[in-house]
Amino acid sequence: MSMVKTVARSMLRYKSLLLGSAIITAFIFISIYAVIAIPYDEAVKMWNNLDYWEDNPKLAFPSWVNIFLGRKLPESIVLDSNLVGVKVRQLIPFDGGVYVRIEIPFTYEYDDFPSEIVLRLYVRNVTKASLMKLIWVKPDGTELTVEEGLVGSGYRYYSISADMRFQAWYAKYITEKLGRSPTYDISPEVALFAKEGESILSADTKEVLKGRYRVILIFRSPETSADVDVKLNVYGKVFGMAGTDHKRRDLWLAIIWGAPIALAFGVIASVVTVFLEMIVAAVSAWYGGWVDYLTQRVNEIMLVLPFLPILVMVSYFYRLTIWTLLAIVVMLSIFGSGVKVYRAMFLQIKEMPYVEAARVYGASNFRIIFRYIIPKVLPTAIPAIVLSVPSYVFLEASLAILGVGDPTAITWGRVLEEAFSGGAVYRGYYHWILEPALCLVIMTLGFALIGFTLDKIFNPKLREL
Amino acid sequence: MEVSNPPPVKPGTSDLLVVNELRIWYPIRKLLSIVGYVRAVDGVSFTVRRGEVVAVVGESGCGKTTLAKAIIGLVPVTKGSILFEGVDITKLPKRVIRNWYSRNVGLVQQDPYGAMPPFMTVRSILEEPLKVHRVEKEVRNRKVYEMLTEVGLTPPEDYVNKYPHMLSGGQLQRVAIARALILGPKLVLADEPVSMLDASLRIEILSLFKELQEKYGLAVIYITHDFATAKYFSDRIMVMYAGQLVEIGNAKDVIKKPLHPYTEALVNVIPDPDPNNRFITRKTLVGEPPNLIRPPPGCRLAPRCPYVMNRCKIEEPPTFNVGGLRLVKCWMYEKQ
Amino acid sequence: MTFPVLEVRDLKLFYRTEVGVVRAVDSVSFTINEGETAALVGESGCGKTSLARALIRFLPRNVSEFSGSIKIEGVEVLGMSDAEFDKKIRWKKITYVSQAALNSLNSVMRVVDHLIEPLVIHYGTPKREAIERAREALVRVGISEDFLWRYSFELSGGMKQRVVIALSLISNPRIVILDEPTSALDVMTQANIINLLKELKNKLGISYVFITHDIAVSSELADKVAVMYAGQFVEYGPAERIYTDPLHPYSKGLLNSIPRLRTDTSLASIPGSPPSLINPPKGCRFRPRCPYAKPICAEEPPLITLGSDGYVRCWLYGGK
Repeated sequence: MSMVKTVARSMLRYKSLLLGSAIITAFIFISIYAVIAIPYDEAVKMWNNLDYWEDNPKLAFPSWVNIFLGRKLPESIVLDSNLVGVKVRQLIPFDGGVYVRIEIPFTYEYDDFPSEIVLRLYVRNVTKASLMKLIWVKPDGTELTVEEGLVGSGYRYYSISADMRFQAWYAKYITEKLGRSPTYDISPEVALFAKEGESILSADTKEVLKGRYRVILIFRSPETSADVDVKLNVYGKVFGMAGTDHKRRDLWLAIIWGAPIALAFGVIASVVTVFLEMIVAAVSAWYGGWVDYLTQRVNEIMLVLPFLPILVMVSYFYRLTIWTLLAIVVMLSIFGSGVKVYRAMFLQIKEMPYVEAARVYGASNFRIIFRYIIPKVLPTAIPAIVLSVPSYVFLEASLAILGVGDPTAITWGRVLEEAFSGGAVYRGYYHWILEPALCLVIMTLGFALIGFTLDKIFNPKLREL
Repeated sequence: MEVSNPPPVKPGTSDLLVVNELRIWYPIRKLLSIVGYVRAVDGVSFTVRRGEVVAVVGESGCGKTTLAKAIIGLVPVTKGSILFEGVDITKLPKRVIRNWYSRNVGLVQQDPYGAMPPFMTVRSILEEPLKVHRVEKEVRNRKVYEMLTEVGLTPPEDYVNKYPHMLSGGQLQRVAIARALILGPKLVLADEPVSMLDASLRIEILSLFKELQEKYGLAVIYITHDFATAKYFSDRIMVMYAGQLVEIGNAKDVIKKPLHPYTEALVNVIPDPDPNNRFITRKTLVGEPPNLIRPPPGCRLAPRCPYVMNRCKIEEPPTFNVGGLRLVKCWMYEKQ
Repeated sequence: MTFPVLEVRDLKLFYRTEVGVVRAVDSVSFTINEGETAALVGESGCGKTSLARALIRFLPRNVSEFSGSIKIEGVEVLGMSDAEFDKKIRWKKITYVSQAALNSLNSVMRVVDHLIEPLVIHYGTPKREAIERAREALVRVGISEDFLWRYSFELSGGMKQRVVIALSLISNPRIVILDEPTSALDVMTQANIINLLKELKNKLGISYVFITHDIAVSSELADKVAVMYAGQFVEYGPAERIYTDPLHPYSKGLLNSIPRLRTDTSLASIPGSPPSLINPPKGCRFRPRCPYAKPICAEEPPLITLGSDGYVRCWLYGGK
């Protein structure tokens, strides 16, 4: 009880403890929220199921970036014929078959072009090829035929952004219209959204035509039962609180789920390792003799073994989930350098008068180790535990960057690894790298602040620092 | 030779502790072989009766601490026996020592602050021995308050929840005494219990100890280098030198008329507060106690003894009984 | 002859700590004449070590007051700058044997290196001459000169103590402060060291300031005795009076609580414990524990001089 009061009083004396605790508490709340809102299994399924993220843009920045840029970067627009637009379905007399016309209007008021445009067609009940035509009507009335062709039954995916044929056609079209060739390759997104004036000819001056757009899909099938639905994704450049990665995944999920995993990994590894190290040291120091000798030699061998290469090796032979990784890390650590330190302390405490007194009134070895020796060591061990949490968090992240570890786990380290391989820095997708990195740094800072202050509280000789 | 009457035999007493030719030799290892022994205790025999206080006096390295630790079961013995109520505790398995012997002995140590776990309250400290021996909660609680009152820490409520660092050295030493007595032992070992306390406090603590010793009929082995407190507190005094017992006898007699040359020297060099002391040069023994690894042949005091004879350098003297329970290990007393 | 080598008047030494100002030495006055030894007797926490530090000026950083007068051979030294004190006084006129003397020898230095250091550094004595004086110093304390070339870890406790004493005498000081010089030693070694100190006192005429908690040992050297309690001297006077017929109730209590080897006096302890040096009680500091306390003791008792026999700080002997 008095220990709680001491801690509370110290909180008020040491601002760093307050700040550190605030940071870690924030992370704890985030973790609780993550675990409650989206349970782990669901989250992992979501993260690894690429179809779920279909409607998100790739590599989009967080939406609040708009505040700093002053411009409005576009958000994604999903035009699903099941939900919006007007669909007219008519049976064709005489020739037979069916005629479907879907018109979807939308407004575009952003200052920048979309990142990608994708058309998905869902064709039903067609055995023979049917005709489809996609028409794009700009606010100024310009009509462009974007796609035209035959389709079969099922799901058809058209990446309009990647349509080289349309791109080439448009280049010719605009050259004819304006009398001059453009100085750059006009991508389809620009083509469909730009003002078709002088401005479009140069990449620096291209301008977005804001206003009311209409997308018209015309479908004609000889079979009367045929039907079609369309989903047009006009992908923006910003998304959500945290942006997206290369697989269109909302990084917010990774950020909030990274917190509980980092905390769990770090705290469990740290506590279990220190606890087991203390037990090994206690047994070694208390029993002495050949027990001590053997334990110390094993300890020394383990100290020499290279930690990281072993982990890399294991990961190549076996598939590691994040929890087996945790288990292996702990196993490799329990004979680490902490044992030497705690053993030295135990050897000293063992000789203390109150331990001798306990032996005289008949206390068992077990009681002495756990009730008299370990509590004396705890004030030193607790700051050590707190301070080693971030090193385990970083270890997990480093392993992820090296490619070791669980490829399906949602951790900050994973995101960092994908960001690195995806060239986030070179390609300017800073949010992808900075978000997990900052989370790691801030969490480390939180634990470091708490740990150093606890050290000062428990070991008053350090107070002058 | 003047010898006073032996101390009155208390009714129903017998020997509580009999130490016989005790030797405690620590092996010196070089790699895996033993190259010699440190003969910390080398042939000590004495008895302690019920309710008797025996002081063990000697300088550092004489073996008194090792002897004491062997008696309470902390240190293994090389040769000889220690009989407690007839049972040789050197042959007992550790389990029996922990369960049975520990209830019969108590320990009060020199450093009051070191003797208490700093993270436990006075209540917990006193309850520990009881918990170890599976005493029920109500009895424990009662005993804690009882003992605190016995050692003068009243009202007990004021002390049970305090931590060691909140108490003074004197108060903590009272807690130590309470802890040593809480299991109702028959023998208490007090290892320099007051040497770390202020002078004016020592008599207070020793009087308390004496009071409790008389009340419960405890046998006490009182280790000290201070002859003066030994005289006040103990019935008999035992002097040790270089791992051996050189003289033992009634406390007042040993001090008034020391027989062994070493005892004589010790008594001579200890001052009382006296303004005339500054004008005299005391007769001391020059030199150092002998090496315990290779003690000299013959009497161990021979190199320094002012009364040394040729025989002393060759043959080790046995312990002579000079009457009235006085024993001296010196050739000068052969014909008694 | 009565030539004062050390005159201390109203010496004050206070420390600033987190919990308040520690009044370790609170107006202490005494005089030591040539060849005289004054024993400073007190229990733990009375301020005697602080007094020793004040005299040799080994002060920590958090001193909040250091005032009064210290005259060594008639020269006022309290006002001197640290540099001047270091150069002219410390280890020239006054030296110090500390409590942890056994630990104050550097185990990787030889005995000779320890002894020549003050001479070479402080006085600029050439090395050859310094070694010669070191040899003399060792012989003077009863150690054979072969030990000059030994390392300090090769020496026993008693020998280390002798080396430290030799070190304190090597610059021929007038005053040597002995702070618990024998507490860590066995009684036999203690007796040998005390004999040595007596011999040196008679031969060299040095004045000792002998600080100890052991009253019996203090009587081995003391010509005058000061009894210290809660940062003050409660009594000061010749050994003849203090050991046999002390005046102050605390001195009486102290002498009554020591078991005697050679006589059988009844003993009594002093109830209670000394006050903290932070915010000592108003009036007489011994009042809470004094069997003779009177209402007037609530006021600070005056210093009653007893002629050349010292003084006592107690209402029982004068004042109003």
